[in-house]
Amino acid sequence: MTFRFLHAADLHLDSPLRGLETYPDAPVEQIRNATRRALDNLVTLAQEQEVAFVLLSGDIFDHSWRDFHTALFFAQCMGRLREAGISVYGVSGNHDAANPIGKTLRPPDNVHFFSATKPGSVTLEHCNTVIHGQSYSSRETSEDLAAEYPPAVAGALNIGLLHTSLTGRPGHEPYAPTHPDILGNKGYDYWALGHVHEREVVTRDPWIVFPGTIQGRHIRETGPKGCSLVEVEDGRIRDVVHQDIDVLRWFRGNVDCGPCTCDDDVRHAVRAELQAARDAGEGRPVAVRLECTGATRMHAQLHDRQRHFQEEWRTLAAEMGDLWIEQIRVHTRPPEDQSQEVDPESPLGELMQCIAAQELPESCTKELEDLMKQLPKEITEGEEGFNLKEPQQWQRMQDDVRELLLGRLLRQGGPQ
Amino acid sequence: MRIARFTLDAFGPFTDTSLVFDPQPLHLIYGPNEAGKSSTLRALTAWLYGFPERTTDNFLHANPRLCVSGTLENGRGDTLTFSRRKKRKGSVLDAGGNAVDPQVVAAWLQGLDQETFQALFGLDHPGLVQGGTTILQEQGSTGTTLFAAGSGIASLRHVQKGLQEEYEAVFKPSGSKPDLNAALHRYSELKKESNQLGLASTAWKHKERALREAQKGLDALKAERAVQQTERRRLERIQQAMAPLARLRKAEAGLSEVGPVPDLPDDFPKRRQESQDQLREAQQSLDNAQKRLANDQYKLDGISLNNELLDQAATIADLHQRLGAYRKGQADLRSLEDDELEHRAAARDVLRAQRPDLDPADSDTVQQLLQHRSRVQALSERKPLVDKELSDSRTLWESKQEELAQVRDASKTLPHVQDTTLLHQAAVHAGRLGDIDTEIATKRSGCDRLHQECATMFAQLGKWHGTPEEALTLPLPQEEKVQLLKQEWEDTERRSTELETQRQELSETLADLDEQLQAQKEAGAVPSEEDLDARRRERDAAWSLLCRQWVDGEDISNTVTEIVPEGNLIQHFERTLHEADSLADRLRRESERVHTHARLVAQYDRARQQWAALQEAQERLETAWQDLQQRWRTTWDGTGIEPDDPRPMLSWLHRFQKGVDQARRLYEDRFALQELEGKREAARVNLVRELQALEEAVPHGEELTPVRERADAVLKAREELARKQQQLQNEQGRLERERATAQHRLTAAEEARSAWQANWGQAMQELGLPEDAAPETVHNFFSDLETYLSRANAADGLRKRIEGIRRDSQELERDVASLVERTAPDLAAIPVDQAVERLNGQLQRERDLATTVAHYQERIASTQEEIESARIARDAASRELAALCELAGCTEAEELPGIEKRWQEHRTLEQNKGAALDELGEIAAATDVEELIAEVAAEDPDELPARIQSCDEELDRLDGEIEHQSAQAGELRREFREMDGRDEAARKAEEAQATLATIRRLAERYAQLRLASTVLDEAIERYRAENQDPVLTLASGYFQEVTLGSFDGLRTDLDDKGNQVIVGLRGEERVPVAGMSSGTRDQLYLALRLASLEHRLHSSEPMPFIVDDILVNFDEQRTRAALQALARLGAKNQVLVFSHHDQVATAVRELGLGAVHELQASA
Repeated sequence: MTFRFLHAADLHLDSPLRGLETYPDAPVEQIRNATRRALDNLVTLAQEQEVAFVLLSGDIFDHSWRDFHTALFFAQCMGRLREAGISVYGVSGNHDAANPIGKTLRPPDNVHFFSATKPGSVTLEHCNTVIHGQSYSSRETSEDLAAEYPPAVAGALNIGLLHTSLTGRPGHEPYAPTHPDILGNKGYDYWALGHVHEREVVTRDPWIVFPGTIQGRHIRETGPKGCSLVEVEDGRIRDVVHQDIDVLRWFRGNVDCGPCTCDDDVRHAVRAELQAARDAGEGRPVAVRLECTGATRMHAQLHDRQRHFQEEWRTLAAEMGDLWIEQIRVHTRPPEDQSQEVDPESPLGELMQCIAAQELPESCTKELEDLMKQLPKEITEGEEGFNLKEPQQWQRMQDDVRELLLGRLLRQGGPQ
Repeated sequence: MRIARFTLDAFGPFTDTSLVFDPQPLHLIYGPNEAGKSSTLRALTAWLYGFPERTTDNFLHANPRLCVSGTLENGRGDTLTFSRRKKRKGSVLDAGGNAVDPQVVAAWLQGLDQETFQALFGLDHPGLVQGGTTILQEQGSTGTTLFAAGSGIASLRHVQKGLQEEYEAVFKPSGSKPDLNAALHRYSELKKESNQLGLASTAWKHKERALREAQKGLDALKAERAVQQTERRRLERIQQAMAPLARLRKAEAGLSEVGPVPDLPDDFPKRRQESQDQLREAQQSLDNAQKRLANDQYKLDGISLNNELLDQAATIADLHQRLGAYRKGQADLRSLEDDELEHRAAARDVLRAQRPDLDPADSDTVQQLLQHRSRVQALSERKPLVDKELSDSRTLWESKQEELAQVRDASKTLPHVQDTTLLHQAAVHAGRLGDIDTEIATKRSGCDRLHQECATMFAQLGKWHGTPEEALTLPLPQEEKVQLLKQEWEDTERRSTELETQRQELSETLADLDEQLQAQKEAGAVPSEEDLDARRRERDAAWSLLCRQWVDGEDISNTVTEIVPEGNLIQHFERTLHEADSLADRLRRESERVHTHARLVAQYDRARQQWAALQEAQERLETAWQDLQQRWRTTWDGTGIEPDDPRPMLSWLHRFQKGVDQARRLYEDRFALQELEGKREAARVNLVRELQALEEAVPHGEELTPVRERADAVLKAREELARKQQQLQNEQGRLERERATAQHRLTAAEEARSAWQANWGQAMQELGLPEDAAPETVHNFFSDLETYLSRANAADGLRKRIEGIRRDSQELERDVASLVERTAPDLAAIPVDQAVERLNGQLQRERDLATTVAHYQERIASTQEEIESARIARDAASRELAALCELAGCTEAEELPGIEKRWQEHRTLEQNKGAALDELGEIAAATDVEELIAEVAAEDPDELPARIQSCDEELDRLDGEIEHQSAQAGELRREFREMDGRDEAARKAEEAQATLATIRRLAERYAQLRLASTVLDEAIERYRAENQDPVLTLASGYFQEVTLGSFDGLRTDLDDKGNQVIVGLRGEERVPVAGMSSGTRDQLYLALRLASLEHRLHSSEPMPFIVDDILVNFDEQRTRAALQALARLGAKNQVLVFSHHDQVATAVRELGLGAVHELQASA
């Protein structure tokens, strides 16, 4: 007997895309409701592939998003699966545990969520499959949930549903920690994991799979996103194929300005990166971060005429298709034969020393504190939060200030 | 670092133009407008920093050929020679053309990028003015002004202000309009909106429960209403059933009354009526038809027809049609005959005029003649061409003949050409010397200038009077020796100063000590151990005397008198005892004062000793000093120079040495000049000799150019003559060839003419015309022949028509006669046309009669058919009536209506009964009719309306409640339906995220601008604190110099707001920058720039300072002062001044400040 099922995780429905500042040519409408449309794609894919069932390994909702409409939308999607005769099995993740909307929701009767109090099992007679799983009871679940899962049922296909970071993954909280060996010892055929947003096949015997999130939501979630299509033949997993269902891609483009000596060269290099971004999008809109690097003769120009280049590249992106320039970062260096060795006793030398100071100048601290007080915490907190005490950001700020001042003082770079 | 040499190999208008910058205080690169000063500046930048991507300096040399090169030299004497080309890679090349790493050049430029280099070491007029303006705008603020001058950044204030304006436009802590404040506001608004649009889970739960309950209440009401509705419908049914029940009863009574009737078919009445009608109509139609038949037969029998005439109907119609043509032919015949005669006469006349010999009836001959026409026409068209060719070729031959004669005459008048080879060689030789006259003149004036400069320099130096030549041999002391003596001199001076200082200090010390001792003395005598000892000795002496008197009884009066004049020893003893005690007490009490006094005395003594030693040292030094002076003077023996101190003399010696260097150059230049003069004279003599040999006039004078120009003119004239002669020979040859060609053409034209004449004669003969007939005559001949032919053809055509008409008329007459004979012999006597008309009339009448006969025959046939069908219909009706009687059970048709009436009555009653039962069935609906009848019977009809009314009232009440409840549930359902998973809140959240991205960008921008502004202010302050004193000290000197002493210097002061500002000093007066003229502020900026550059030398290697025409607004005096100030800096740090003003060049030359390089663009 052969059948197929779909495995998805980390839907984070209605969690907005981050870092996309609107500008006139930006493809705003094309990326609206990205997470919802990705879920739509999942449902359509399940119908097209005539899968036996769908597995959801946690984080259906985002913990900070409390609009019950989101839950209703999820229920509508589940309703579509019900009409197609497809059942859904899921566990809640840390985000769901911290959000009341999932608990209030009464999904259609084709949807089964496992209990949070103890591991449970569901037997599907028609495809000789047993699914085991346990939901999160609270956000910070630190015990190894998998350890308590029941042993495999002999003669059936056994699937474990679990929201975990395994032995830990960078950028993800170490919830429900466990080890592939513990999972392997259960004798299951397939471990449907969730929580880690990057897709990963941890082992193939048994299959331990993170399908990744269904839709990237910021520049740290680049590349294709989607779910895993699992093919079963005679009670054995025959193949696991990843299916892209995202509606927008994130792409980091590195523009090597090293060989550039004029605007045309830079435009050429940027166009090449934008083309690469477009190719990576495979027909979807793409949010692109452009990072200009290299020791280049265009170094000063790139700093002094940032606004000009930004406009030009945005227009270029608009001309090439649904490309959204998320951010432009200029990390270029002057060419080796132009690196300044300014006499430290000269005025410019003093200026360079003041800029290169290890800390914020005291005279400026108050103004910046005034600013920080008014900024929303979404800006100031988190891994990439705006914080000048963070050494890398401070270093970048010093570089920018140096180029700004040199531009204004020496190159008559007027205000932008 | 300094630029030792700079070459514009190929750049702008320059080709291989070199500027050599030997170590002089100042280099003026001078060129009038358009001489390429700006190009040179650009070239210098290109050399040091590479060519820009786009250049305008490629109008003479294409981009790949652009090249600048030169040599840099540093303080250790190392050099770097390299050239720069316009290339993306490998643009820097060494002297051997090998690629050099650009970083090597960058290292020599201390890694400074182009902008920094230009800011620090470049100054142009706009920069100077901007600097002066900024000083005013900043009110002379010390920090900003020093920073601006030190960095060469004149737009500092603009930058500071720009930064501030910009960050304030981004964010203000308490503002609302700046971009970031607005974005923050927008963000919080969006979050609020998103929250409002969002749906809480609890709200959804409550709504769902309320909806469920409302639905339940509504269902209960609807059930109650249904019960009520059922009862109302039952009562209504009973009420409706009353009337039909009554009708049922009535019908049943009627039926029993009518009794039994035969069972007839439904269509019986219709069949009976139709059969009786049909029988009656058939009988009537039969009678009418028989009458019509008899009448028609009678009329037909009365008509007879002429069948013979009718048989000829086609012939008569044909004849009648031909009759029209016949009549027209008869009418036209006469005029056609007249036309034929006219054409024939005209043809005959025309032919007779041209060829009377020909028969007018023989048109074939004329046709043959006309066949020659195209050939003769071609010949006549060729005639003018042949004639023209003949005339043209004759004219050409004659003109060539004439031209040839003219050229031969001209050739005879040209003079003889002489050989100029030797003169040419001499001129070439002289030409190789180039513009030697100018060179000699330049060199000579250069020598004179150099001589003048040397003389001026020596005169300005003073101390020595002599010619530059004498200076070369002057036995000046060795510099090293002077250095040693200077060192010794300075040591001695320093020693003397030190001694003097010591002497002054010691003198002050002595005076001080003396003063202190005096002060102590004035405060009262200081007791001393010595005094105490003395007093004690006095006391002890008195006591000894008293003891001697009292114990030994010794007379001591004499001794007493010696000691005590007054003679009272006891009193004396008491006094001395008291004094000693008192002294001892004081010594103990005033011990500090005593000690101080003792120290002062000791110090005083030591100082006196030092004083004596100092005196001795000064005397020794004086001796050494005199010896040194003596040696110094001896050093200069033999030079006739009275030397000053070694220090100025060392400088003097340096400058003198420069003078000597110049004198040496002068000597070399003069030698070169003599050589040149020798070469020129030899060339001139050679040229003069050759010119004279050619008997040409020779210009006088030593210069070569007039002689060479004369020789060139002679050579040119001789060459012109030879060229002319050659030209005439060529012309003659060409004309002879052309004349021969013209001769050939003339002969051919004559031959063509005679051939044409022969052809023409032959053609005329064939036409029967004279041989010399003109083409026009021949043309008329052919034209007449054509007229003849056209007239003859027309006459022939007419003849054919006449004959045709006659033939047709005769044929018609024959046909008519034949017909008349057969059908109407009575018409034989009348003319043909009338006979035909009459026949035609008769035929028409016969045809009308035939039509009438046919009509009657048709009607008779139709009437006979009608009679037959009427008979059939009558029989069918009779059979049907018989059948109906059988159905009704009677024998006669007349009984049928009565039976039919009873049958119909019975039928109606049956129908009424059925209808009543149907109605009751309908009212009963699902229930049994019998049951309904029973129910009706059970009810009282009078109570029914009241009971129905009561039901209606109850229903109305329930409807009201249901409507209310429905509305409530509907509202709840609508609200619940709106909870449909919509995305409005999510969309707002997306917008909020976009705003957050804007906030992030603006926050970073604000921090960047704010930091930039702060560190700039900080750097300005730090630079001020560290450099204010030394730079201002240096700047004071420069400022005094460039303002020609109208200011004494600069210092800092506090303005009204307590800010540190720079002010000018004029005596005691402090002049703020606002009180200075704009020119003075420019000079202040210049002074500060020069001071900063000089100050910089303490920590850095010198770099060339490049000044571009900054003196345009300076008057002559100030220009000179500024140049001197620049030269003063130039002694330590190379200064290159670009200018196109004569006065600057003149000043530099006159003041001997350095070298003047004149630019001379090669294009």
